[in-house]
Amino acid sequence: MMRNKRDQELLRYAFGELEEGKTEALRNQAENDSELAAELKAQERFAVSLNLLKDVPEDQYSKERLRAAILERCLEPREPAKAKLGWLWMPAVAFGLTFAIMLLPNLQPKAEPMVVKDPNPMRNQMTPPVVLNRTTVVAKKPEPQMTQAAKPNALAFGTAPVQASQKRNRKSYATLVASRSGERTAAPAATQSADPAVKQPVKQTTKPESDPVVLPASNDEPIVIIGALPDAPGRATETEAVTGVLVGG
Amino acid sequence: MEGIVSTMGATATGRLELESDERLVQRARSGEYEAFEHLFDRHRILVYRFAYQMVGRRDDAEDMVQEAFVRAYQNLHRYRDEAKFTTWLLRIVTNLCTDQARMSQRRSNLEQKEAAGALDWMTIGMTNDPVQNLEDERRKAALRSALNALPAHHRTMIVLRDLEEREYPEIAKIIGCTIGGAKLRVLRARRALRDRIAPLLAQ
Repeated sequence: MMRNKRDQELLRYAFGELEEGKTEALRNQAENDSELAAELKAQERFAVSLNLLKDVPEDQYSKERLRAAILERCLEPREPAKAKLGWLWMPAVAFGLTFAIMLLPNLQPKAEPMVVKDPNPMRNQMTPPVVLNRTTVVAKKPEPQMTQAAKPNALAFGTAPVQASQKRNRKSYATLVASRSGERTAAPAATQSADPAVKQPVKQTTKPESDPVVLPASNDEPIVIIGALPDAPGRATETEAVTGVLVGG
Repeated sequence: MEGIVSTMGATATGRLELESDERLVQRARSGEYEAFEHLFDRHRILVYRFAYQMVGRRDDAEDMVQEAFVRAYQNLHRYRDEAKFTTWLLRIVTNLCTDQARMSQRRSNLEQKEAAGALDWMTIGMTNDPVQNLEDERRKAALRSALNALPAHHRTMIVLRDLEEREYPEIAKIIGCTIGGAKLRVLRARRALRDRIAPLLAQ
Protein backbone atom coordinates (compact mmCIF):
# COMPACT_ATOMS: atom_id res chain seq x y z
CA MET A 1 0.00 0.00 0.00
CA MET A 2 2.77 2.36 1.02
CA ARG A 3 4.80 1.33 -2.01
CA ASN A 4 1.83 1.99 -4.26
CA LYS A 5 1.38 5.45 -2.78
CA ARG A 6 5.08 6.17 -3.17
CA ASP A 7 4.98 5.09 -6.81
CA GLN A 8 2.00 7.33 -7.38
CA GLU A 9 3.85 10.28 -5.89
CA LEU A 10 6.90 9.65 -8.05
CA LEU A 11 4.80 9.55 -11.21
CA ARG A 12 3.02 12.73 -10.28
CA TYR A 13 6.34 14.36 -9.54
CA ALA A 14 7.76 13.34 -12.91
CA PHE A 15 4.77 14.79 -14.77
CA GLY A 16 4.74 17.96 -12.65
CA GLU A 17 1.42 17.25 -10.98
CA LEU A 18 2.63 17.01 -7.39
CA GLU A 19 1.91 19.82 -4.96
CA GLU A 20 4.71 22.33 -4.39
CA GLY A 21 5.39 21.34 -0.76
CA LYS A 22 5.56 17.65 -1.53
CA THR A 23 7.83 18.24 -4.51
CA GLU A 24 10.33 20.12 -2.32
CA ALA A 25 10.21 17.43 0.34
CA LEU A 26 10.87 14.75 -2.25
CA ARG A 27 13.85 16.61 -3.69
CA ASN A 28 15.36 17.08 -0.24
CA GLN A 29 14.85 13.45 0.51
CA ALA A 30 16.50 12.42 -2.80
CA GLU A 31 19.66 14.40 -1.92
CA ASN A 32 20.32 12.00 0.94
CA ASP A 33 18.90 8.87 -0.71
CA SER A 34 20.75 7.80 -3.89
CA GLU A 35 18.23 5.04 -4.64
CA LEU A 36 15.38 7.49 -4.55
CA ALA A 37 17.36 9.91 -6.69
CA ALA A 38 17.87 7.23 -9.38
CA GLU A 39 14.21 6.40 -9.30
CA LEU A 40 13.25 10.03 -9.70
CA LYS A 41 15.57 10.32 -12.66
CA ALA A 42 14.04 7.28 -14.37
CA GLN A 43 10.58 8.68 -13.89
CA GLU A 44 11.63 12.04 -15.31
CA ARG A 45 13.18 10.30 -18.31
CA PHE A 46 9.90 8.48 -18.89
CA ALA A 47 7.93 11.73 -18.81
CA VAL A 48 10.37 13.46 -21.14
CA SER A 49 10.49 10.56 -23.57
CA LEU A 50 6.76 10.91 -24.11
CA ASN A 51 7.51 14.33 -25.63
CA LEU A 52 9.07 12.48 -28.55
CA LEU A 53 5.62 11.29 -29.50
CA LYS A 54 4.14 14.73 -29.62
CA ASP A 55 5.35 15.34 -33.15
CA VAL A 56 2.72 14.40 -35.66
CA PRO A 57 3.17 14.45 -39.44
CA GLU A 58 1.08 16.98 -41.29
CA ASP A 59 -2.26 15.76 -42.50
CA GLN A 60 -3.41 15.95 -46.09
CA TYR A 61 -7.07 15.73 -45.46
CA SER A 62 -9.15 18.27 -47.33
CA LYS A 63 -12.58 19.81 -47.18
CA GLU A 64 -13.34 18.36 -50.58
CA ARG A 65 -12.77 14.84 -49.31
CA LEU A 66 -15.10 15.43 -46.42
CA ARG A 67 -17.75 16.94 -48.69
CA ALA A 68 -17.48 13.94 -51.02
CA ALA A 69 -17.80 11.54 -48.09
CA ILE A 70 -20.90 13.30 -46.81
CA LEU A 71 -22.45 13.46 -50.26
CA GLU A 72 -21.60 9.86 -50.94
CA ARG A 73 -23.61 8.77 -47.98
CA CYS A 74 -26.43 11.15 -48.90
CA LEU A 75 -26.53 12.46 -45.41
CA GLU A 76 -28.74 15.13 -44.04
CA PRO A 77 -28.81 16.23 -40.40
CA ARG A 78 -31.56 14.19 -38.86
CA GLU A 79 -34.45 15.75 -37.00
CA PRO A 80 -34.44 15.11 -33.27
CA ALA A 81 -38.14 14.23 -33.27
CA LYS A 82 -37.60 11.45 -35.80
CA ALA A 83 -34.74 10.05 -33.82
CA LYS A 84 -36.77 10.03 -30.63
CA LEU A 85 -39.66 8.18 -32.29
CA GLY A 86 -37.39 5.21 -32.89
CA TRP A 87 -38.61 3.17 -29.92
CA LEU A 88 -42.25 4.31 -29.90
CA TRP A 89 -43.41 1.80 -32.49
CA MET A 90 -42.99 -1.07 -30.03
CA PRO A 91 -45.65 -0.07 -27.46
CA ALA A 92 -47.90 1.10 -30.32
CA VAL A 93 -47.71 -2.30 -32.01
CA ALA A 94 -48.24 -4.09 -28.69
CA PHE A 95 -51.29 -1.97 -27.96
CA GLY A 96 -52.68 -2.56 -31.45
CA LEU A 97 -52.22 -6.31 -31.18
CA THR A 98 -53.92 -6.43 -27.79
CA PHE A 99 -56.80 -4.38 -29.14
CA ALA A 100 -57.16 -6.67 -32.17
CA ILE A 101 -57.16 -9.80 -30.00
CA MET A 102 -59.81 -8.31 -27.73
CA LEU A 103 -62.01 -7.38 -30.69
CA LEU A 104 -61.64 -10.66 -32.60
CA PRO A 105 -64.51 -12.59 -30.92
CA ASN A 106 -66.93 -9.73 -31.62
CA LEU A 107 -66.06 -9.71 -35.30
CA GLN A 108 -67.76 -13.07 -35.97
CA PRO A 109 -70.73 -12.70 -38.38
CA LYS A 110 -74.05 -12.31 -36.63
CA ALA A 111 -76.76 -14.80 -37.61
CA GLU A 112 -80.10 -13.66 -38.82
CA PRO A 113 -82.75 -13.77 -36.13
CA MET A 114 -84.80 -16.95 -36.46
CA VAL A 115 -88.55 -16.72 -36.32
CA VAL A 116 -90.20 -19.82 -35.03
CA LYS A 117 -93.83 -19.95 -35.85
CA ASP A 118 -96.25 -22.26 -34.17
CA PRO A 119 -98.19 -24.26 -36.79
CA ASN A 120 -101.32 -24.07 -34.66
CA PRO A 121 -103.23 -20.96 -35.91
CA MET A 122 -105.02 -20.51 -32.61
CA ARG A 123 -101.79 -20.27 -30.69
CA ASN A 124 -100.39 -17.87 -33.20
CA GLN A 125 -103.28 -15.56 -32.55
CA MET A 126 -102.78 -15.65 -28.81
CA THR A 127 -99.02 -15.54 -28.58
CA PRO A 128 -96.62 -13.64 -30.76
CA PRO A 129 -94.06 -15.67 -32.72
CA VAL A 130 -90.94 -16.49 -30.79
CA VAL A 131 -87.96 -14.64 -32.10
CA LEU A 132 -84.66 -16.34 -31.59
CA ASN A 133 -81.73 -14.12 -31.65
CA ARG A 134 -78.51 -13.85 -29.83
CA THR A 135 -80.07 -12.71 -26.60
CA THR A 136 -82.92 -15.20 -26.66
CA VAL A 137 -82.43 -18.11 -24.33
CA VAL A 138 -83.61 -21.20 -26.12
CA ALA A 139 -85.22 -23.68 -23.77
CA LYS A 140 -82.89 -22.67 -20.99
CA LYS A 141 -85.73 -22.91 -18.51
CA PRO A 142 -87.70 -25.99 -19.41
CA GLU A 143 -91.15 -26.68 -18.08
CA PRO A 144 -90.80 -28.02 -14.56
CA GLN A 145 -93.18 -30.89 -15.28
CA MET A 146 -91.19 -31.86 -18.30
CA THR A 147 -87.92 -31.76 -16.43
CA GLN A 148 -89.29 -33.91 -13.66
CA ALA A 149 -90.55 -36.42 -16.15
CA ALA A 150 -87.39 -36.47 -18.14
CA LYS A 151 -84.68 -36.41 -15.52
CA PRO A 152 -84.95 -39.90 -14.03
CA ASN A 153 -83.88 -41.74 -17.15
CA ALA A 154 -82.52 -38.84 -19.13
CA LEU A 155 -84.36 -40.02 -22.22
CA ALA A 156 -87.33 -37.74 -22.09
CA PHE A 157 -88.30 -35.83 -25.13
CA GLY A 158 -86.81 -32.36 -25.13
CA THR A 159 -84.24 -32.71 -22.37
CA ALA A 160 -81.32 -33.40 -24.65
CA PRO A 161 -81.45 -30.04 -26.42
CA VAL A 162 -81.83 -28.26 -23.11
CA GLN A 163 -78.73 -29.91 -21.69
CA ALA A 164 -76.85 -29.37 -24.89
CA SER A 165 -77.67 -25.73 -24.98
CA GLN A 166 -76.57 -25.33 -21.38
CA LYS A 167 -73.24 -26.92 -22.12
CA ARG A 168 -72.49 -24.82 -25.14
CA ASN A 169 -70.65 -21.65 -24.62
CA ARG A 170 -71.35 -18.34 -26.26
CA LYS A 171 -68.81 -18.79 -29.00
CA SER A 172 -70.60 -21.78 -30.51
CA TYR A 173 -73.86 -19.92 -30.72
CA ALA A 174 -73.55 -19.16 -34.43
CA THR A 175 -72.93 -22.82 -35.19
CA LEU A 176 -75.94 -23.79 -33.12
CA VAL A 177 -78.21 -21.33 -34.92
CA ALA A 178 -76.94 -22.48 -38.30
CA SER A 179 -77.66 -26.13 -37.50
CA ARG A 180 -81.06 -25.20 -36.19
CA SER A 181 -82.00 -23.24 -39.26
CA GLY A 182 -80.89 -26.21 -41.40
CA GLU A 183 -83.16 -28.51 -39.48
CA ARG A 184 -85.94 -26.00 -39.76
CA THR A 185 -85.77 -25.97 -43.55
CA ALA A 186 -85.70 -29.77 -43.60
CA ALA A 187 -88.84 -30.08 -41.53
CA PRO A 188 -90.64 -26.75 -41.49
CA ALA A 189 -93.91 -28.11 -40.26
CA ALA A 190 -92.51 -29.85 -37.23
CA THR A 191 -91.97 -26.84 -35.04
CA GLN A 192 -94.82 -27.28 -32.66
CA SER A 193 -93.82 -26.98 -29.08
CA ALA A 194 -94.89 -29.29 -26.36
CA ASP A 195 -95.61 -26.28 -24.23
CA PRO A 196 -96.31 -22.86 -25.72
CA ALA A 197 -94.77 -21.10 -22.75
CA VAL A 198 -91.44 -22.77 -23.34
CA LYS A 199 -89.43 -21.72 -26.33
CA GLN A 200 -89.33 -24.62 -28.66
CA PRO A 201 -85.98 -26.46 -28.87
CA VAL A 202 -85.10 -27.18 -32.45
CA LYS A 203 -84.19 -30.84 -31.97
CA GLN A 204 -87.67 -31.42 -30.70
CA THR A 205 -89.15 -30.39 -34.01
CA THR A 206 -87.26 -32.80 -36.22
CA LYS A 207 -89.80 -35.59 -35.71
CA PRO A 208 -93.54 -35.40 -35.82
CA GLU A 209 -95.22 -35.35 -32.41
CA SER A 210 -97.13 -38.54 -33.01
CA ASP A 211 -94.07 -40.58 -33.85
CA PRO A 212 -92.35 -42.27 -30.98
CA VAL A 213 -88.78 -41.34 -30.43
CA VAL A 214 -86.36 -44.17 -29.81
CA LEU A 215 -83.13 -43.18 -28.19
CA PRO A 216 -80.21 -45.54 -27.77
CA ALA A 217 -79.85 -47.16 -24.37
CA SER A 218 -77.54 -49.57 -22.74
CA ASN A 219 -78.28 -53.29 -22.66
CA ASP A 220 -79.01 -53.28 -18.95
CA GLU A 221 -81.59 -50.54 -18.94
CA PRO A 222 -85.07 -51.03 -20.35
CA ILE A 223 -85.93 -49.13 -23.51
CA VAL A 224 -88.79 -46.73 -23.08
CA ILE A 225 -90.77 -45.62 -26.11
CA ILE A 226 -92.41 -42.32 -25.47
CA GLY A 227 -94.86 -40.37 -27.47
CA ALA A 228 -96.03 -36.90 -26.76
CA LEU A 229 -99.69 -36.37 -26.05
CA PRO A 230 -101.23 -33.69 -28.20
CA ASP A 231 -103.68 -32.65 -25.47
CA ALA A 232 -101.21 -32.85 -22.62
CA PRO A 233 -98.18 -30.92 -23.66
CA GLY A 234 -94.95 -31.61 -21.87
CA ARG A 235 -96.08 -34.99 -20.57
CA ALA A 236 -94.33 -38.20 -21.58
CA THR A 237 -96.38 -41.29 -22.42
CA GLU A 238 -95.23 -44.83 -22.93
CA THR A 239 -96.97 -46.02 -26.07
CA GLU A 240 -96.14 -49.64 -26.82
CA ALA A 241 -94.74 -52.76 -25.18
CA VAL A 242 -92.15 -54.88 -26.88
CA THR A 243 -90.01 -57.74 -25.58
CA GLY A 244 -87.26 -56.34 -23.48
CA VAL A 245 -88.83 -52.95 -23.80
CA LEU A 246 -90.83 -51.24 -21.11
CA VAL A 247 -94.00 -49.72 -22.51
CA GLY A 248 -96.34 -47.52 -20.63
CA GLY A 249 -98.66 -44.51 -20.67
CA MET B 1 -19.74 42.32 -60.45
CA GLU B 2 -17.41 39.42 -59.85
CA GLY B 3 -15.50 41.57 -57.40
CA ILE B 4 -18.64 42.38 -55.47
CA VAL B 5 -19.57 38.70 -55.23
CA SER B 6 -16.10 37.74 -54.04
CA THR B 7 -16.14 40.59 -51.50
CA MET B 8 -19.54 39.42 -50.23
CA GLY B 9 -18.24 35.86 -50.01
CA ALA B 10 -15.19 37.01 -48.10
CA THR B 11 -17.39 39.03 -45.74
CA ALA B 12 -19.61 36.02 -45.09
CA THR B 13 -16.57 33.83 -44.47
CA GLY B 14 -15.09 36.42 -42.12
CA ARG B 15 -18.39 36.64 -40.29
CA LEU B 16 -18.45 32.87 -39.84
CA GLU B 17 -14.89 32.86 -38.59
CA LEU B 18 -15.85 35.20 -35.77
CA GLU B 19 -18.78 33.14 -34.66
CA SER B 20 -18.63 30.70 -31.77
CA ASP B 21 -18.72 26.95 -32.23
CA GLU B 22 -22.19 26.76 -30.77
CA ARG B 23 -23.53 29.35 -33.21
CA LEU B 24 -21.90 27.54 -36.11
CA VAL B 25 -23.50 24.30 -34.96
CA GLN B 26 -26.88 26.02 -34.93
CA ARG B 27 -26.32 27.25 -38.46
CA ALA B 28 -25.18 23.85 -39.65
CA ARG B 29 -28.25 22.30 -38.06
CA SER B 30 -30.46 24.61 -40.04
CA GLY B 31 -28.84 23.33 -43.24
CA GLU B 32 -25.98 25.79 -43.75
CA TYR B 33 -23.22 23.44 -44.83
CA GLU B 34 -20.64 26.23 -44.99
CA ALA B 35 -20.93 26.62 -41.22
CA PHE B 36 -20.08 22.97 -40.79
CA GLU B 37 -17.05 23.36 -43.03
CA HIS B 38 -15.89 26.17 -40.78
CA LEU B 39 -16.16 23.88 -37.80
CA PHE B 40 -14.13 21.34 -39.73
CA ASP B 41 -11.43 23.93 -40.51
CA ARG B 42 -11.21 24.96 -36.90
CA HIS B 43 -10.93 21.55 -35.32
CA ARG B 44 -9.51 19.36 -38.02
CA ILE B 45 -5.97 19.47 -36.61
CA LEU B 46 -7.15 18.66 -33.11
CA VAL B 47 -9.04 15.61 -34.32
CA TYR B 48 -6.24 14.53 -36.63
CA ARG B 49 -3.59 14.78 -33.92
CA PHE B 50 -5.64 12.77 -31.49
CA ALA B 51 -6.47 10.17 -34.14
CA TYR B 52 -2.84 9.90 -35.20
CA GLN B 53 -1.69 9.37 -31.63
CA MET B 54 -4.27 6.68 -31.23
CA VAL B 55 -3.75 4.75 -34.46
CA GLY B 56 -0.15 5.70 -35.27
CA ARG B 57 -0.56 5.95 -39.06
CA ARG B 58 -1.29 9.00 -41.12
CA ASP B 59 -3.74 7.44 -43.58
CA ASP B 60 -5.64 5.67 -40.80
CA ALA B 61 -5.76 8.90 -38.86
CA GLU B 62 -7.17 10.74 -41.87
CA ASP B 63 -9.83 8.08 -42.29
CA MET B 64 -10.63 8.57 -38.64
CA VAL B 65 -10.93 12.33 -39.12
CA GLN B 66 -13.34 11.79 -41.98
CA GLU B 67 -15.43 9.31 -40.02
CA ALA B 68 -15.48 11.58 -36.98
CA PHE B 69 -16.71 14.60 -38.92
CA VAL B 70 -19.26 12.59 -40.86
CA ARG B 71 -20.62 11.24 -37.59
CA ALA B 72 -20.59 14.70 -36.10
CA TYR B 73 -22.60 15.95 -39.06
CA GLN B 74 -25.05 13.09 -38.74
CA ASN B 75 -25.52 13.69 -35.03
CA LEU B 76 -25.48 17.48 -34.86
CA HIS B 77 -28.98 17.41 -33.39
CA ARG B 78 -27.62 15.47 -30.42
CA TYR B 79 -25.06 18.07 -29.51
CA ARG B 80 -26.05 19.99 -26.39
CA ASP B 81 -24.62 23.41 -25.72
CA GLU B 82 -23.63 22.61 -22.13
CA ALA B 83 -20.49 20.80 -23.38
CA LYS B 84 -17.79 22.40 -25.49
CA PHE B 85 -17.96 21.41 -29.13
CA THR B 86 -14.36 20.17 -29.02
CA THR B 87 -15.16 17.98 -26.02
CA TRP B 88 -18.10 16.50 -27.88
CA LEU B 89 -15.98 16.00 -30.98
CA LEU B 90 -13.18 14.34 -29.04
CA ARG B 91 -15.70 12.04 -27.44
CA ILE B 92 -16.75 10.93 -30.91
CA VAL B 93 -13.14 10.32 -31.93
CA THR B 94 -12.41 8.47 -28.69
CA ASN B 95 -15.33 6.13 -29.29
CA LEU B 96 -14.25 5.63 -32.88
CA CYS B 97 -10.71 4.82 -31.85
CA THR B 98 -11.88 2.40 -29.19
CA ASP B 99 -14.09 0.61 -31.73
CA GLN B 100 -11.32 0.52 -34.28
CA ALA B 101 -8.81 -0.75 -31.73
CA ARG B 102 -11.14 -3.58 -30.82
CA MET B 103 -11.52 -4.64 -34.42
CA SER B 104 -7.99 -4.44 -35.68
CA GLN B 105 -5.63 -4.55 -32.75
CA ARG B 106 -3.65 -7.48 -34.01
CA ARG B 107 -3.36 -6.24 -37.59
CA SER B 108 -2.32 -2.80 -36.41
CA ASN B 109 0.39 -4.18 -34.14
CA LEU B 110 1.93 -6.27 -36.87
CA GLU B 111 1.90 -3.46 -39.40
CA GLN B 112 3.30 -1.05 -36.87
CA LYS B 113 6.16 -3.36 -36.11
CA GLU B 114 7.01 -3.77 -39.77
CA ALA B 115 6.70 -0.07 -40.51
CA ALA B 116 8.81 0.92 -37.54
CA GLY B 117 11.63 -1.36 -38.64
CA ALA B 118 11.48 -0.22 -42.26
CA LEU B 119 11.50 3.48 -41.50
CA ASP B 120 14.37 3.48 -39.03
CA TRP B 121 16.99 4.27 -41.67
CA MET B 122 14.89 6.61 -43.74
CA THR B 123 13.90 9.11 -41.10
CA ILE B 124 15.26 12.64 -41.16
CA GLY B 125 16.39 13.53 -37.67
CA MET B 126 15.86 16.65 -35.56
CA THR B 127 19.54 17.36 -34.93
CA ASN B 128 22.63 17.43 -37.07
CA ASP B 129 24.11 14.43 -35.29
CA PRO B 130 23.08 11.34 -37.29
CA VAL B 131 23.86 8.96 -34.42
CA GLN B 132 21.74 10.99 -32.05
CA ASN B 133 18.97 11.18 -34.65
CA LEU B 134 18.99 7.46 -35.11
CA GLU B 135 18.91 6.90 -31.39
CA ASP B 136 15.98 9.30 -31.01
CA GLU B 137 14.11 7.61 -33.79
CA ARG B 138 14.66 4.20 -32.28
CA ARG B 139 13.40 5.41 -28.95
CA LYS B 140 10.46 7.05 -30.59
CA ALA B 141 9.58 3.90 -32.51
CA ALA B 142 9.87 1.83 -29.38
CA LEU B 143 7.68 4.25 -27.48
CA ARG B 144 5.14 4.31 -30.27
CA SER B 145 5.04 0.52 -30.33
CA ALA B 146 4.60 0.41 -26.58
CA LEU B 147 1.82 2.97 -26.75
CA ASN B 148 0.04 1.10 -29.51
CA ALA B 149 0.33 -2.12 -27.60
CA LEU B 150 -1.53 -0.63 -24.65
CA PRO B 151 -5.22 -1.35 -24.28
CA ALA B 152 -7.33 1.35 -25.94
CA HIS B 153 -8.59 2.80 -22.65
CA HIS B 154 -5.04 3.30 -21.35
CA ARG B 155 -3.86 4.70 -24.67
CA THR B 156 -6.73 7.20 -24.71
CA MET B 157 -5.71 8.55 -21.33
CA ILE B 158 -2.02 8.91 -22.26
CA VAL B 159 -2.90 10.66 -25.52
CA LEU B 160 -5.41 13.01 -23.94
CA ARG B 161 -3.34 13.99 -20.95
CA ASP B 162 0.32 13.62 -21.86
CA LEU B 163 0.38 14.09 -25.63
CA GLU B 164 -2.53 16.46 -26.25
CA GLU B 165 -2.25 18.05 -22.80
CA ARG B 166 -5.94 18.27 -22.03
CA GLU B 167 -7.04 19.36 -18.57
CA TYR B 168 -8.53 16.82 -16.19
CA PRO B 169 -12.05 18.32 -16.15
CA GLU B 170 -12.20 18.08 -19.93
CA ILE B 171 -10.84 14.55 -19.92
CA ALA B 172 -13.51 13.64 -17.40
CA LYS B 173 -16.17 15.02 -19.72
CA ILE B 174 -14.77 13.25 -22.77
CA ILE B 175 -14.50 9.92 -21.01
CA GLY B 176 -17.68 10.40 -19.01
CA CYS B 177 -16.33 10.07 -15.48
CA THR B 178 -15.45 12.25 -12.50
CA ILE B 179 -12.31 14.35 -12.31
CA GLY B 180 -10.92 12.06 -9.62
CA GLY B 181 -11.72 9.10 -11.82
CA ALA B 182 -9.92 10.71 -14.73
CA LYS B 183 -6.80 11.30 -12.57
CA LEU B 184 -6.82 7.71 -11.43
CA ARG B 185 -7.18 6.40 -14.97
CA VAL B 186 -4.34 8.57 -16.20
CA LEU B 187 -2.14 7.28 -13.37
CA ARG B 188 -2.92 3.66 -14.22
CA ALA B 189 -2.26 4.26 -17.89
CA ARG B 190 1.11 5.88 -17.17
CA ARG B 191 2.07 2.99 -14.95
CA ALA B 192 1.12 0.50 -17.66
CA LEU B 193 3.17 2.36 -20.27
CA ARG B 194 6.14 2.80 -17.94
CA ASP B 195 6.21 -0.93 -17.21
CA ARG B 196 6.25 -1.65 -20.93
CA ILE B 197 9.14 0.65 -21.69
CA ALA B 198 11.14 -0.09 -18.54
CA PRO B 199 14.04 -1.68 -20.49
CA LEU B 200 14.23 1.38 -22.70
CA LEU B 201 14.34 3.69 -19.69
CA ALA B 202 17.16 1.70 -18.15
CA GLN B 203 19.42 2.35 -21.15
